[in-house]
Amino acid sequence: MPTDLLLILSGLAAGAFGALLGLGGGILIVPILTLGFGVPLTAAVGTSLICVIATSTGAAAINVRAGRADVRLGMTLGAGTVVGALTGAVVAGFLPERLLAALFALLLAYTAFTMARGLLRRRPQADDDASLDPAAPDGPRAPAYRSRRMPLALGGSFLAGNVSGLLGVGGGIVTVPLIHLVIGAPMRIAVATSNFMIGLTAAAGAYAYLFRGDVDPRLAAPVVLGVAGGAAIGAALSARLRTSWLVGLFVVVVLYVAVQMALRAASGS
Amino acid sequence: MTRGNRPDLLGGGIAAVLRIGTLVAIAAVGVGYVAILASGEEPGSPALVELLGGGGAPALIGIGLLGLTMIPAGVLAVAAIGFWQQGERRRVATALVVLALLLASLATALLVTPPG
Repeated sequence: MPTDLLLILSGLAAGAFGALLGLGGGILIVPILTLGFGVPLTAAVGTSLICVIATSTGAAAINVRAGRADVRLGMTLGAGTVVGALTGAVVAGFLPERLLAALFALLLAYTAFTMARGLLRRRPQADDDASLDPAAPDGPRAPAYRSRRMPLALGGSFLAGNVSGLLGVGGGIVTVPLIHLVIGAPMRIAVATSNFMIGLTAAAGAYAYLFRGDVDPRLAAPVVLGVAGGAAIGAALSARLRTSWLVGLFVVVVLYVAVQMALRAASGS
Repeated sequence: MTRGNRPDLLGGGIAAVLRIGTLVAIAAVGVGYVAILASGEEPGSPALVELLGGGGAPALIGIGLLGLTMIPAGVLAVAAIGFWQQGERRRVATALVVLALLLASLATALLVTPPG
């Protein structure tokens, strides 16, 4: 029972943190399960993918209704992420755990770097803050913009799907810059559209883990329930909290976890 | 919200699938989890087919987890109907292609069983 309680609390923390920072939470769930609970990496990845779907669908419902998520663009790029996620999930079943841990450590380091850079460059403008909050209650309807460089974006979305299926994250760390910088969509549309795509991507990857027995229902249930609750709490708090100090804390935590994962990859333990 | 007398499937319809699907799936996981705690079962980590076939509380959790993964398929189906209603035939094709890819992922996962 104490383990169950810890799993629920861990899910709550990952879900709330993820919602506050605009992430799916997978970047936290995988290390929590592997480093904190000794769960094998493939099982943690499978559980994380299911949790990511739960956090994505809740926020996507709000974003789609408000017109912030570009459903047309999300579906088109979804073709790339779905194929990428399936490929990543199948390949993960054949890769040694040490290699997966090393890849996850690299992803964590990249995420910390990206968020730290964003924090340092961040301008204190209300519009900028709103662009980081996909659940902002009164955001504008999607502005008109013309999608460009679609072939490149489709290639990038395949890569995002691959990262998701292989490492159990939503892939937003790739899709948000892809939609914003390559396609040319405004930041808030990129965040909301990426969130819409995450459920699609994670589902494609999750099937492989579910069907080969990499998801333990006794372990997944408390984490999923905690994450769903935490995401709701995080979404409710996100409109009231300034997230800059949270991003700073997140960067420190992620860097620490990256080192732990790298050590695990190096030692093989 | 309606467009003429048609329901707004691309906004409200998709949002409803996402919201209701999540609630139902999470509820199934929650009920299954409470039942498994009460019974003290330890189902281990079986493949989904065996998990569902075994019945009881673990199967209920399995249904909830599978339900969560099926929400995007429901979204794509509703989107295809919505695009059809609006006369966006190319978008209908896109939605159906992505839906087919997602179902192919499901079929591949079911048929290919690499070492777990």
